[in-house]
Amino acid sequence: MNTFLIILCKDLMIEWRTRARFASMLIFGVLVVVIFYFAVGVTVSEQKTHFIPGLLWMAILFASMIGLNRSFALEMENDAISGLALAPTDRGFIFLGKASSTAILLFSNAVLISTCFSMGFGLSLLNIIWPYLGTCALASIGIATLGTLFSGMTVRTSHQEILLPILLLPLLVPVLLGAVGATTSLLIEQETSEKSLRLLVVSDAVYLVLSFLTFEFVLEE
Amino acid sequence: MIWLRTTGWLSALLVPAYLFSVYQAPVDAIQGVAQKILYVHVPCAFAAYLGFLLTAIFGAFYLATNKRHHDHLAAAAAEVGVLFCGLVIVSGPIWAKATWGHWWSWDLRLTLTLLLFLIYVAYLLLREFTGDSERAARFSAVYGIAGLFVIPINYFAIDLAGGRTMHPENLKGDSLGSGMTLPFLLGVATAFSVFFYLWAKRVSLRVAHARLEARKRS
Amino acid sequence: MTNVLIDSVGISKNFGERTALLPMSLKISCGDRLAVLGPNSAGKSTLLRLLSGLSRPSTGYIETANTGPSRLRKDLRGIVGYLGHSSMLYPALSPLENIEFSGRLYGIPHPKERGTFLLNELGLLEFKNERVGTLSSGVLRRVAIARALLHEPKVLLLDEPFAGLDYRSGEILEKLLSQISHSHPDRALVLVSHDLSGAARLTNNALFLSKGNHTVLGAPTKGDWSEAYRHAQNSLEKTE
Repeated sequence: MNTFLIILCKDLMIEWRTRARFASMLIFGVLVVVIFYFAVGVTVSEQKTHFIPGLLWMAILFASMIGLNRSFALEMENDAISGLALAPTDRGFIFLGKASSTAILLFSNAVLISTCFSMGFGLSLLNIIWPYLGTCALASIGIATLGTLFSGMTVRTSHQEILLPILLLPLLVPVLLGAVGATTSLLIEQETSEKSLRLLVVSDAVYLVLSFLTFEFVLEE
Repeated sequence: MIWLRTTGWLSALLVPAYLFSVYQAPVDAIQGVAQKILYVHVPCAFAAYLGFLLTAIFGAFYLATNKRHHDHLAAAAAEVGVLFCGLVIVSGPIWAKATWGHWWSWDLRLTLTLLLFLIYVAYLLLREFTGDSERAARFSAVYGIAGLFVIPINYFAIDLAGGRTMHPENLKGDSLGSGMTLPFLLGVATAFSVFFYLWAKRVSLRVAHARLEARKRS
Repeated sequence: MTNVLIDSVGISKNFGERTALLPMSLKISCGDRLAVLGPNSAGKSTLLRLLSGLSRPSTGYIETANTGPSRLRKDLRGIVGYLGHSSMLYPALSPLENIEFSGRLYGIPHPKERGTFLLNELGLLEFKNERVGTLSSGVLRRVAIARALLHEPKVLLLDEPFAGLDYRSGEILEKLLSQISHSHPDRALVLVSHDLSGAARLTNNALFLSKGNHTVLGAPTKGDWSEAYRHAQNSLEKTE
């Protein structure tokens, strides 16, 4: 359990010092908002409101891909990943540490992109802020969990940047649908969609257990 | 070897029987001849899902035992499964166009099978792009297991999003018209038989290739 | 109470088509000071990675004193201190932060104090708070060695520790390793080096590897393994 906290702190410290991932994800997210704004038209009519949650989560998802690609990149410099692999600890906890730091990063990014979206498209997120943040948190956990597992693999393959989305996106469909469903329900009906939240929680739980148990096989040589 | 021969002979017997029964089957009053694609589409879908189940199971065995043979079984199942999955994706739209007038519908089962196809392809690409074969075996085994658990969740997720629209409901015992049961059952038997035959063939090829590599090494 | 620290039986390593190490067995016991010598691409680094628990053998198994063959190799990793070709240090952190992080992972009490002590022993105190990304490779090598020594491992596996070090740093390191060997006779040292006389000063037995094959050289003659090395190389090349 200690291992998890040690790695989480280390990752957050490095992220704070370099701000590499956070900056690139944020800029990408803002760019996507701008592009979407031009793509769907400069005014948001009633009909278009239904598309906004989908666009929002697409932006968050693609920005997350960038963050995930970099998740293990920092471990590959100087082969630091071998330093982690050498530690006499359960590798599942190493995974938890890395996934947690990534989840925090993805969550911050989701919040910032949502802010840009709400400003750009005139959405009112403030009155549904807590359930919405909960949705962001659950989605971030899901993306970070499976994403950390797979980026641990792809970082040691060729074509890693294209391989990660190919591996990850088909398996992130539940998270995407859950997040979009929950957001749509919150924005349009002003109520929480229990089904969507349940989907998110179940997906997160499955991803977490799966990744915790199989990370050992990803880390070893 | 015995697997190969058994399934080979079985397929050789079943395929003509199946084709004949499809030819003989009554033409559906509403959907016309196009309905007969059902006899290809559904059995192939069963085989495709079976393929992925086998890929994931043998991948798990490989991680537990580290025996190369389990990896051969897993990879071969994926290679054959993706073929059947491709047939489902191709036959579905042909039927859809003939019956509903448009090529694609984002309904639950078709979408799920498309996702399965993408997962299969991702699995094979992961193997291809991972240089070292032992690492490829390990990584793809992990991915196969992940896919196995997520596919059912995908089913519920798409269902939740309102995907259950146009696809015909699950075939119940009496929902098939008279004269349609036999070709359908033969179709399923043939698909499985051909799957196992191709799988056995592919495994023996992989094993032979591995033996050749080992000889080159020593 | 056995004094065998690591018992490897029939271990080999293949990377796809390429065989890096042919099947071999090796026991590392208390007090062993073994040099691993040989030309490039002989399998020396591969052997060390296997013994450290970083790499899984393609065949065979590795046991430690207290446990049977463990697939997870956690126990093996706990008793081993490993230095590889890369420094395994995070560029954005300082040497002391890197060592502290490693110390916490190994569960050492007071990792900061121990880290400062080791950095001092290796003459690195002036760099302790600089970012690793700004330091030279020679300094990084010594920091990596400090990291390997941090948890007082029973078996020290060092892959070319003197590579890239200037004369003075090399001297300091040799003195430190010698000191550790003498004051801790229950520990073992396995050292890969291309410096045959330097290795002879720190070790009392050698393993010669060439293209995955191996042969034991025994004690150095006249404080050097050059003769035994040449002999082993010729005989192994003849059998290929």
